[in-house]
Amino acid sequence: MENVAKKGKLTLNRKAKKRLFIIAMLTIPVIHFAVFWVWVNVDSILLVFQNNVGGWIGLENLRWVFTSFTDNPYLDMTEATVNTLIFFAWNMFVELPIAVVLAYVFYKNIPGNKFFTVCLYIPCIITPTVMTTVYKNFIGSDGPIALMYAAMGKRWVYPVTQDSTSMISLLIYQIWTGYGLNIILFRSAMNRIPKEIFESASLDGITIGKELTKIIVPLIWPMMTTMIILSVASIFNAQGPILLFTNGDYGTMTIGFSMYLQYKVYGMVSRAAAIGLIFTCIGIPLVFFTRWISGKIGGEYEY
Amino acid sequence: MSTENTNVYADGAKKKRLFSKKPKEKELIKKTPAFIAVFAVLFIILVLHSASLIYPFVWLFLNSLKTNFEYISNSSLLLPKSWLFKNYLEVFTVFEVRGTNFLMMFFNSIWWSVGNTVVGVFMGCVVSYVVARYDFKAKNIIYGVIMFTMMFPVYGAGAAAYKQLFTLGIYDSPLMIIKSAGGYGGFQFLMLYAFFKGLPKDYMEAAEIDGAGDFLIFIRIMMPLAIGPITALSVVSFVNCWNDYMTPIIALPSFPGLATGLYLYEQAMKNGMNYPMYFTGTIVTVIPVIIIFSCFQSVFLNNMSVGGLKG
Repeated sequence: MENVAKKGKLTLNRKAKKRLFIIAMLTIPVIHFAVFWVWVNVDSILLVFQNNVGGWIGLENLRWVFTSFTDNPYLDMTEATVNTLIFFAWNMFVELPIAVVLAYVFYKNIPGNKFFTVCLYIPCIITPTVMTTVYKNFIGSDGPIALMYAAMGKRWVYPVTQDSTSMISLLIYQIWTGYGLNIILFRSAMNRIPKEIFESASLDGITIGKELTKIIVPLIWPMMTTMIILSVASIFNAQGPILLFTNGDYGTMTIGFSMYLQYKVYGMVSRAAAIGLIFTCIGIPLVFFTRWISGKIGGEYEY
Repeated sequence: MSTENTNVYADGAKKKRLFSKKPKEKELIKKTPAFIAVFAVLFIILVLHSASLIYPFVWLFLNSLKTNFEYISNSSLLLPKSWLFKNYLEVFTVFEVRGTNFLMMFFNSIWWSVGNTVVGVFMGCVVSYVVARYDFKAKNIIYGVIMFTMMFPVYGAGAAAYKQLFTLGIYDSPLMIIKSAGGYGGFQFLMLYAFFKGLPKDYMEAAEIDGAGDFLIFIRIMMPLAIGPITALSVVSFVNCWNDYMTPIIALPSFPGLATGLYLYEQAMKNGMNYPMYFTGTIVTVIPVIIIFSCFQSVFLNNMSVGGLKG
């Protein structure tokens, strides 16, 4: 009887200790979340209806953003939206497929496999400040490309500061530096596919293209879906290297960078919040739609 | 005797393999001419791409060893007339932006990267461990909230966050590090959660029988077990912080790190820049991350799979 009581007491103490431990461990993260996520996000909604000194101004900030789509001398939101979508489409339909193909090539053990992996991963570990410096000097008027042009008797024009070529230069930069991490992630996903699947497919005489499209892609689709959803979720926040290249000039403004300019450079915190709210209203259904469509396309495979 | 050449059997005995090398895996797909052609084209593209990533750094390094006059007056493709390795010492004093010299920027990069990494990764372990290993009422809510914050896009919060820095009095202060103390960040949480979730219960139960408390189990047993993912995440966090140029521009103007310093130097000196000094600063900035990545490359690559995400 005494043992049972002792045992009961012991159990109760252990439970209490566990509860205390959980509370102690989670107190700081919960407070942190309340301050740096809940407060910030609630305030970003309130800011939309305020001026910069906290006075309520109704829908004035939203109206300002909507005029910037058509007639606003300070911001061309149409250009920013189009450029943001271009960067996103480039990421989804060019960089991501290239990363999958290259991951597959590495998975198949192409000669120099490790060397290429390290080389392509270089831009992921080096600050964009350096990578943009390297790129700008490489394509600059004193760089190797300009000198090669000069040797051929042609004149090279620095493409970043030309309205017609600036966006293309940034997209090339994106692809030059963009997919090192994705290759590693996709390759690790491919390594987890059971070898038996490939063996049975080889007995059926599968070709390399079919192996990639009919086996690899469907089996790594859950990971691809996650990356696509995360990419869609950050679509309007992504700034890319705009600050380091053009500061939004030469037709390279994006939504993310326009928000940065509003609150940091112009001190218009409320207008930045208004831009954010409008694109949050667009972004949420977009994420849910992407999840739905990804589920429809890929399906679930157990292995 | 290398482990590669031995088989370890259940009884612990090591027996030498008949062949010293692992037999090659059977090629599953027949190498048709089309197969070889596709791989040859991709190989050439990879060679060119890799060269385009390596060559500019060689170019930067060679030009960092010149005088400014030599760089401006001669072709940048030529080798330096005299190899000025002293530029790599001078950069620490000559390279200066807004009253902060290169040495100070180096120091700023170190405290910002180390501080954020230690605080961020530790808090990541705390949250993911508790959510993965303990059953309590709010567990599913916390997990759901973390997933929600990852998938639910909220734009424009940067403006409110910027305003909040002034309200909390942490703008332009080293206290900015507390912003990384949440531990509920997406990728980090997923990776550690999957790791802790996958650990057998036996470890905890054995330690409890020996009288260890929950905190002791976490610190003395679970954290050492998670050293692989912790190291990988620490490398990622350190490199990200080292490379982060936006945070100091937005919130820490008096504490520019090397990444920010290079941008500010370029902006400030646009028309009268000492190019070789700038290139030297660029090379010095990348050396620490290259060293760290080289040292922890295998740990990093072995642990870099999106934890918990099947695929």
